[in-house]
Amino acid sequence: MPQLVQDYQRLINQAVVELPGATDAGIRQALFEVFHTFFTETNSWQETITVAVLAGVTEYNLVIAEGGEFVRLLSLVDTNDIGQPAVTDMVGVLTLRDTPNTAATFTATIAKTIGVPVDREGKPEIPEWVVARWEPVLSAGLLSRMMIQNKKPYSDKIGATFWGRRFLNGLGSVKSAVLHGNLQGANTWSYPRGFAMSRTSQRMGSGGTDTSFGV
Amino acid sequence: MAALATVTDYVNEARTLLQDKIAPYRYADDELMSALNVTLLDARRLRPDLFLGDGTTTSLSEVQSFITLDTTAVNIEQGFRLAVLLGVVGHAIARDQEDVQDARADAFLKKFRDKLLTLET
Repeated sequence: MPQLVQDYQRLINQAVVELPGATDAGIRQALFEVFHTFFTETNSWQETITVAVLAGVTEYNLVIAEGGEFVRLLSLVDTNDIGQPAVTDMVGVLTLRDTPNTAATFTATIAKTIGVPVDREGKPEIPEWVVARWEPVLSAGLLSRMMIQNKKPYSDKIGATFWGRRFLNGLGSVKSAVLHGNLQGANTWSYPRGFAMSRTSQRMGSGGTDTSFGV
Repeated sequence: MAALATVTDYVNEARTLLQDKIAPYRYADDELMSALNVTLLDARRLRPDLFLGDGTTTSLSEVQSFITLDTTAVNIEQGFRLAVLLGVVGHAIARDQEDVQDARADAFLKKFRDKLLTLET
């Protein structure tokens, strides 16, 4: 079972061992950047938000309840699981393409990333599972990020390149796991077909009505 | 408590390296505290990550400065305290006028920089 604080400290301790001359604060700073890239690139940290839609209103704030910062809208469906065309700005303001005729409840699924390095209790504001599940990927990103720094005892351009590649490969694995719903041998999970492929989505970012799982 | 935790710790240890343990001192307390203050400023230039704090609050813009010899904590990670001490001694010796002391001051200041920037020494 993941123990966030212990897992997080183990990740930092490992970096201290591998990066002689590094400061704890510097490692934490770099780790924040690594988490930011990790979540932004992989869509692995998601939250489902209920949106109470009102007749005649097209703009809504997506209020995050479980920590993190908004990255992008992954899907928006109505109560019948039918995709609804919409776009969002960079901070999570949802704009519906079609003005609703009646009040309804939509469900938005969003991707999030790390917002603050630590909460008031000194714990990182990240999901419990992330370090336990993806420690090798995060460690590679951290080592790369540290080694690329100039004129430090742990500066190592070759090492940074090596670990950077490992990190990018790891991000690919995480993306794949997210796309396949974390299932072995499963087809790529796709958002409703129209959501991804319709002219509507190209214009507005979200849309369509097909909610099937397909290639 | 770990070594070199407070202002007094730094001044006392600096006196040991300066061979200035018996009053009246060659290096006054305020001179050594001034050396500590400028050493911290130089450390901020060379290794700003030492001054990042816990990540929620940053002290990068305001480096600690001391005017009273007391038990106020000097917020430097343990692994870098010896480097700061060597810097204090180097800055203290640098004020001496004897030519032979210039080389000694340079040696301490070089050790200070090396300990912050390399794995040598």
